[in-house]
Amino acid sequence: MKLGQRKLIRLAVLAMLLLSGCADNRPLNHRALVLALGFAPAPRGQISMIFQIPTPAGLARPSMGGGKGESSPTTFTLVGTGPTVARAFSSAQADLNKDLYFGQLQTLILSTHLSARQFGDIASTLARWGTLDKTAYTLATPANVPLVLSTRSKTTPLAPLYVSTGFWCTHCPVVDLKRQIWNLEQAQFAPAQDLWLPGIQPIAVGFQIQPIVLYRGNRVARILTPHQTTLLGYVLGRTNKGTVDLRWHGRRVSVDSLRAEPQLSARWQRSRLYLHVNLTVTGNIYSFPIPLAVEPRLTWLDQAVKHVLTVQCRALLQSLGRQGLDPFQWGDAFVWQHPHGLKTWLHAYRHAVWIISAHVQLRELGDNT
Amino acid sequence: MPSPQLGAAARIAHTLVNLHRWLAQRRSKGQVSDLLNALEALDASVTVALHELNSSDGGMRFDGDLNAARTHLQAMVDKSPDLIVRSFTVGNAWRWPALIAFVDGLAANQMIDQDTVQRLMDAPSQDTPTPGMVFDAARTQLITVGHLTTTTAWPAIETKVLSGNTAVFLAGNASVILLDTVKYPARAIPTANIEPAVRGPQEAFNEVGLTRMDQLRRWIRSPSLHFDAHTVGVISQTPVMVAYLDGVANNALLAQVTDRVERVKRDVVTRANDVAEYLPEQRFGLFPQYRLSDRVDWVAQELGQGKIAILVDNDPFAILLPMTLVDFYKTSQDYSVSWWDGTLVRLIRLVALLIGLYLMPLYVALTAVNLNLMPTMLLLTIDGSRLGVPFAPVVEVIIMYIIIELLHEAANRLPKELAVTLGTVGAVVVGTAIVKADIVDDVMIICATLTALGLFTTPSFEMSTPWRWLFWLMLFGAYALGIFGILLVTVGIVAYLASLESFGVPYLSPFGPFRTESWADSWIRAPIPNLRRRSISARPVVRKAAAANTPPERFHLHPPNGSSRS
Repeated sequence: MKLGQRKLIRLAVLAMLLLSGCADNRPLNHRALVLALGFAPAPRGQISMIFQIPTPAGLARPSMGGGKGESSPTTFTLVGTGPTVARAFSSAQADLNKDLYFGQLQTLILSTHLSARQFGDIASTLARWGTLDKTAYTLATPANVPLVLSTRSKTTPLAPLYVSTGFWCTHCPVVDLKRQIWNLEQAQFAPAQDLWLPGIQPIAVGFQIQPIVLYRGNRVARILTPHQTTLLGYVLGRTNKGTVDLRWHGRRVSVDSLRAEPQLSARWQRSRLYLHVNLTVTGNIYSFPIPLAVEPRLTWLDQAVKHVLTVQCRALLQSLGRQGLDPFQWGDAFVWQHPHGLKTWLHAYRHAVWIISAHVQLRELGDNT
Repeated sequence: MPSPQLGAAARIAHTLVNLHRWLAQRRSKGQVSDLLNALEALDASVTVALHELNSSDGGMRFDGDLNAARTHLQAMVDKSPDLIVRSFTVGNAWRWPALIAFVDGLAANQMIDQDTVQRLMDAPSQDTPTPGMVFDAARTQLITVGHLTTTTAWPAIETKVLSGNTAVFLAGNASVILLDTVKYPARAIPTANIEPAVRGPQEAFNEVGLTRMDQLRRWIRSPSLHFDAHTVGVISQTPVMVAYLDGVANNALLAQVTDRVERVKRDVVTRANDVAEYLPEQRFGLFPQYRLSDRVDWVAQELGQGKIAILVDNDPFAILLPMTLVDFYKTSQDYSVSWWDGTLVRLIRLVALLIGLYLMPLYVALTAVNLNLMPTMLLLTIDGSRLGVPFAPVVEVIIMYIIIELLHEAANRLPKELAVTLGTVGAVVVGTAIVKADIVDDVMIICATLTALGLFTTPSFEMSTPWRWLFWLMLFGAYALGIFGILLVTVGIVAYLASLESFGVPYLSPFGPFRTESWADSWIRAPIPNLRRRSISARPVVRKAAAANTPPERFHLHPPNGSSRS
């Protein structure tokens, strides 16, 4: 090896070490792991950042909660307030002797009461935050954010993990409402895309994650009911365990575990937008109130479920369309092909004709003879 | 006409004799006895020198003068008591002067007493003796030792006598009879404790070269097993045997190895590694290019693969070469168990290597640099276990690793029985105490234990050393650059290994270069009937190692169901 090459290698190694940023590495015991982060409006147009950090008791036995008893708090909440996100963060950091670390963030909760300016500031800051885990689950809440973050779940004592452990299992919840920070970013930079987030509410035994919160731009446009959320879930292909209640000669028949595979398509006809939603629905029926031959029973059930779903979904989608809310990213695809056609699209979408069709296949389980 | 040097030497000798006599008269005074002894030794040396100068060949050959021979032999080892030089006469009537020389302890006394001295002294003798007649009678009729040679050269005589042979000098005969009476004190054939195996042969080599050759001959009873004799060590004259299978081992490889052995120039060679470290091209290379093994079956197996074994006298370990990385992860037991078992343990060794090398650096990378890559629950567990620990993860790792190395070295130095106790002390007492003292956390104890197990699972001791060194490099990479640093060091290691050759064989063979045909006996071990071809690595002359063998036809000792019974 020549002398010049040796010098070059030494220089490369030195540069690698100096430029690696290893001097800034902070080990685990110098970091405060922020597991949940909330944003809420504060008085005088300010923003509150609420950080949820595990306590030593929570760290000692994270899967079992406090360890020394239910009374031991597993997390503590730190609040920082400021006119901007950066100032709010600095305010919180000043109260702590450890480095606030967002690389393990599990949950981001945004208040539905945030103004458009505040929401824009938050989305923009989060997009630029280097150490932030962009896969953290994002939710919106109409409730008080500190209250949501201080609520404890019976099933998951370390509260911030409630959302993440729930979302890990795709097929467990009724509707899979998993949304992550990068979805927030995506919507920020796609003008035709309307953001939707799952809503979270504190209840007596923990949380309820059910309604979908729809945004237009940076502002909340509509909060769906749980039933509407399930219906929208069919069209988005996210409903896992839908139910439909039917009546057979006045007696109640329940169809469970409904899920749908949607096929969405759009066509223009005489300057009118036609949006087709074709659902392939499967589900189970466990009991039928009176003895009846299998074949006619299933045929009636298929038809009945099909009717209910098509009618209810059409009503919901037309209502969303009239509001110009597009959670399906149809507008995104249109604007991608026609970069200057946003206004055209919005007008067409508001007046679109929704055609909903469904093919239902139910399975009969249990003893129905 | 005497040369000027001869005249000067004669004058010095005369002066010494006079001085000797003068001092001998004053011996009673007691102060000069040490000086007298030294003078006697000097006198003998000068006498030998004079004799050699007088000889026409410079004293390099025996000339039939027994006095000169006695003086030469005694001067050779000064006053060492182990060299026995005895005068006697041959033939009960001839009374022909003779001299016998051997090293006490290296030669078989029975062969000297009964088969040589007694036979020579009691020989019936009637004719008038001549030097030639006595020599012939001794060589062909009297001495009954099986292996007998003759020589006149002093260097050969000296070497042979010091190796355990017996030299018989007959007055007036320039030829000396050398008898193979070698009988080293040696250990019994030991059990292979260094490379233990649950099944299969258990025999290991001992320190005696001849015994080791015999052991190998028992394993390979073929004339193609050759032993090329060499001698290394300018002073120690240590015999070295290069063993190989003729017609299987690559000739170019053999020539290269022979040349490298011949080039070992060192005064004293005491062990195999003294020779082995001369052989590789890269003296400072981190990875071993040869393997030391004391298992007879393993050496025989490797010879069968076209490799070469170097047997250095007085060291039970044979040097096996050339070696590839995967060769260091094979053991004899792999072939003594089912191929499923053999393959499983080899893969476990690979996993153990990865654990040993990466676990602790990964711990450092994930707890100090790339915290975001750690599963949250695991990170919380680690964070919880680190409550109260004052050190950064990297310091914890260094502490634990030093403890592992200390325990390892202490266990090596202690007797086996105490080593077990030390292991218990290390694992239980130190492990528990260090956690209770909040010096390291629980998770680190798990990591350290798995690392130690991983690094020391390597079947070949010499291969664990490079990984133990590289561990520190990996740790530094992890601390400085996190996962990226680990990847960077890994790329460096792979690149280095890819550039390495052991006696012309790529170190990563058969994976780099990519030779799938030799994979059957690498990290996996295919059924033995399927190992029909030798590995390409050592470039054997003949690749085919076994004939094609289809599985036997199925046969039924019991009649199939439904058929009539006979």
